[in-house]
Amino acid sequence: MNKLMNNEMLPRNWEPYLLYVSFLPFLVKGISYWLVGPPYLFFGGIAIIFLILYFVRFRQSGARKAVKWWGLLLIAYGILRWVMTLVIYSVGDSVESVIVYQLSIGYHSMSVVLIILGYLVLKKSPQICRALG
Amino acid sequence: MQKPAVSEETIAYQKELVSALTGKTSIDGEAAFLKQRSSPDERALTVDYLQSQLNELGAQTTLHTYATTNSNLFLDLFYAPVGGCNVVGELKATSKDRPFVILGAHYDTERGSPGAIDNATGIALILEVFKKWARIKDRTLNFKIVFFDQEEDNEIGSREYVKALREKGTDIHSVHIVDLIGWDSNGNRAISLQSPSEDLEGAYKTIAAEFGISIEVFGGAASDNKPFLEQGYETVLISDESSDTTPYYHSAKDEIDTIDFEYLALTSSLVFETLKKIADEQIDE
Repeated sequence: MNKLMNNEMLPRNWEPYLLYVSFLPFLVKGISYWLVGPPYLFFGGIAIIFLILYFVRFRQSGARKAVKWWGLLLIAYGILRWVMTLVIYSVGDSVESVIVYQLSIGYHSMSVVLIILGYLVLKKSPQICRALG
Repeated sequence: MQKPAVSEETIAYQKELVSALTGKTSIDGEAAFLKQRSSPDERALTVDYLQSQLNELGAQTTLHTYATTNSNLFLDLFYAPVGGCNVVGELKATSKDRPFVILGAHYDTERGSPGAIDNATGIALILEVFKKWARIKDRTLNFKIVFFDQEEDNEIGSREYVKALREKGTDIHSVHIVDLIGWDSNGNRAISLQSPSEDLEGAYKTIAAEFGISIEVFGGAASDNKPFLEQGYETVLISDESSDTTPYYHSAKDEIDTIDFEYLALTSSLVFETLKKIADEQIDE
């Protein structure tokens, strides 16, 4: 992780890709819901992504703040997924099986990925803004 | 009609089905024994088993797979779409195009419950009726069996199936749902009908009177009958008496040895004869 943070193993200007990768889970979720019916998660996600990119590209003063907020949002979302898991296990039998059986290793791994991505986006927000601005 | 003697063959067949569905015997003929029918893997094994049972009876079998949203937007934000699979078997009428009669039961269980009475009994009843129906030479009704997924999660499977039916515009005569039909501690052989249409209530009561069985009728919707009722289909839920039902509902004790198989077999005959009456009335029309 330290090597990663110190950029020793990475090409120059890799930081923007961190931001793009952090959008992917939300795009995938939006598309998967759109495929089964409602498009609101897709368009909600797209709206947020465009807003962040708009600030980064055209509003230099608010760019870093927007990227930082996005990083914080990712961390909060990842943590909230764990909190939800704790709530579900404490509530017990009354929770729908469709929810309980989603709490797999894949689900928890994604929560970890989101928190790490959020941390990296937060930490690298100056470089991201510089590279994209 | 005299109260029919319960056939040993029927009891043996239904015991075999319930044994496999509740983990007393293997569900795949090999090493898989079900403790419940709730997780995706257990439900997949159950789907394979039901499909093979329907194929053995000569049904045209299809799987109705679906994916849909969770029960609210908040859950959608955190979780993936819900997926499931209804098992559908068809037996076409031997005469000209006729409407479909649907006979349905859910195959999933509450977590931690083997689901003998809830609802392996419903499946066993339906397969026995289907078996008898397949032996009829001149069938005047199209017959559709649906084993619904995810009834225990707000009837997701049947809701999705109703949606698909409406999109296809399938001509449906009536929908008969079976849920919890194996407990009869007072031995009176009575059953209950929930929210039956007037015609269906009449048909079931006529045959029940011939069998010497009493029928309790009440309103509401407590199972897969709900989505059908909401969409205006002629529907009935067949169940054991509300005052004499399993005390092991949704528990680990809902096991095969709590089932009264004679009661199950007798109710199977009642449902079969009622469907035959409905079919005969179709000819008269």
